[in-house]
Amino acid sequence: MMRDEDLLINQAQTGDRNALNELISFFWHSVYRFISYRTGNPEDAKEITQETFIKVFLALPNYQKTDATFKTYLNRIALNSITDFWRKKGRIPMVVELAEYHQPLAEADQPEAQVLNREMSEAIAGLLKELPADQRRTVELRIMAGLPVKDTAIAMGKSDAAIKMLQQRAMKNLRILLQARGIVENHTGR
Amino acid sequence: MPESISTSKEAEEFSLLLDKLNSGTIPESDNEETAELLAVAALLKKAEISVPPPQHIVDQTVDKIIRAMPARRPSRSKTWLYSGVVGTAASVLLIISLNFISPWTQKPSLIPPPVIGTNQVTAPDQNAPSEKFNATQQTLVSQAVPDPSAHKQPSVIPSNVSPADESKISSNKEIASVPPLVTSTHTQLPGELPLPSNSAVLDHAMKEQAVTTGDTKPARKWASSPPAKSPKSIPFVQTVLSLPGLVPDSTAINKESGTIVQVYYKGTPQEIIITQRLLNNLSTTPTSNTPHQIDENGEKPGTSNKVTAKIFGQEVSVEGLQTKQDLLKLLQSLVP
Repeated sequence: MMRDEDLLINQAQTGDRNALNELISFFWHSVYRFISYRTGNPEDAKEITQETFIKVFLALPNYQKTDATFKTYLNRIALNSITDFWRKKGRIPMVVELAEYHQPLAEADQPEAQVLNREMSEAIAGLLKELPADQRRTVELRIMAGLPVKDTAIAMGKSDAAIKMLQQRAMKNLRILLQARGIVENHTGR
Repeated sequence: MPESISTSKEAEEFSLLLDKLNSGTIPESDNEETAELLAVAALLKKAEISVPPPQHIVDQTVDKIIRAMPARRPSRSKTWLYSGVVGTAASVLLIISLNFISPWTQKPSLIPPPVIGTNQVTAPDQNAPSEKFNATQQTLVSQAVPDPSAHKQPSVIPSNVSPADESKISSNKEIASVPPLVTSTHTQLPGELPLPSNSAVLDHAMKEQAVTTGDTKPARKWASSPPAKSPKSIPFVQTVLSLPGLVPDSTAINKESGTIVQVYYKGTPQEIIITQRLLNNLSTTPTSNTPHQIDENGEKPGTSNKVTAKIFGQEVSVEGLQTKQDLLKLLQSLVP
């Protein structure tokens, strides 16, 4: 849980490393995933996410002059960063609506999503804890955080090949656990 | 026990499909096993379990942010603030201290203050100027020299000062702080050294290197100083002193004797003769032992006066029909 947001923002403005660290850690996942869905490349997504945070913290005085929440402010700058990215690539930027931010996946194409609710999420989180530590951490970074293989390998101190093996083993183990709980039995039996 | 991975090819394919899933697309696979694993991965993503990013990425981002906003950091701004305050204080102190420094040190002429002595030469009566001439003299001096009343220069010992006063002045700390201080007092009687004209003095100075000295201790110091090298062995490096803003009508340089004589306003009643002699040469040149009479009444109008000082290792004398005070002003205004 993040400490008081306004306090952290004020401290971040003064270059407080801990405050910056906490804010970035808290908002990174959502910003990265949002950008990743719009760029289609994990490396580009990482660069743009970093650029977004830099822009945000350099423009914090401007943010304080408005009444928008920090997350809205963050999303607006993320959108601008994505637009700049596509312009640099010489391509027309994708039209992005902020409303899509919280619905990155098309629910109609994901039948599993219809059965997910809060309890389900907690159940999955519980099942993750039953995985071996390396596999659990691989799932967290590679799938939940959406990091590329390279960054996951750096974070875990392993090779790319090891990460690829770990992620596959983790999915197989998790599938067994989910089937044992009857969570995916009806949807994966094709 | 989980089923072992049969081939690394499957792992590679699954990794590529995961990348697509991470980028927001819904990948498909012909391999049933891989498709099931992808479905599990999609389920995990949909669960939206918040996972903190790896610390190295956060650190990298924080470093970039801090590098990008160095000027906004408080330590830097405080440093600028402190340096600004210190700079302002230093400026104020500098201005205040400059106001307390003697005006002499602020003069651009860079002439060292010690004026050693004053010689007064009484010229024949035929050179007595009129009142109009005195007014001209005053104008000349005021043009060439700033008002000496603004400059406190106790190092000048006029010839009409009594020996007691002279010793007092010599013991003055200001004078003592100044290097080589030699005082000579000389007043020539009108008949003793006739000066038919100021131009004649020029010739006389070039031929005759005699320096009249009084009985004061510093003068004895001159006489008792170790014999200098022969004039030929002395490198002739002399600083030519001149009146600011004026060009001498004639300049005579005698390298052997180390004498430079400049004449301003030559042939006019305002004529000024500036004579520079190297002190090394002075010590070897014969000195006159003629007793000198001090003019108790100070300068006399119409007489040729002379003021002598030691500047830059040279004896510099200014000679003219001007009053002693005016000659002193001229002497002090000399610039290299």
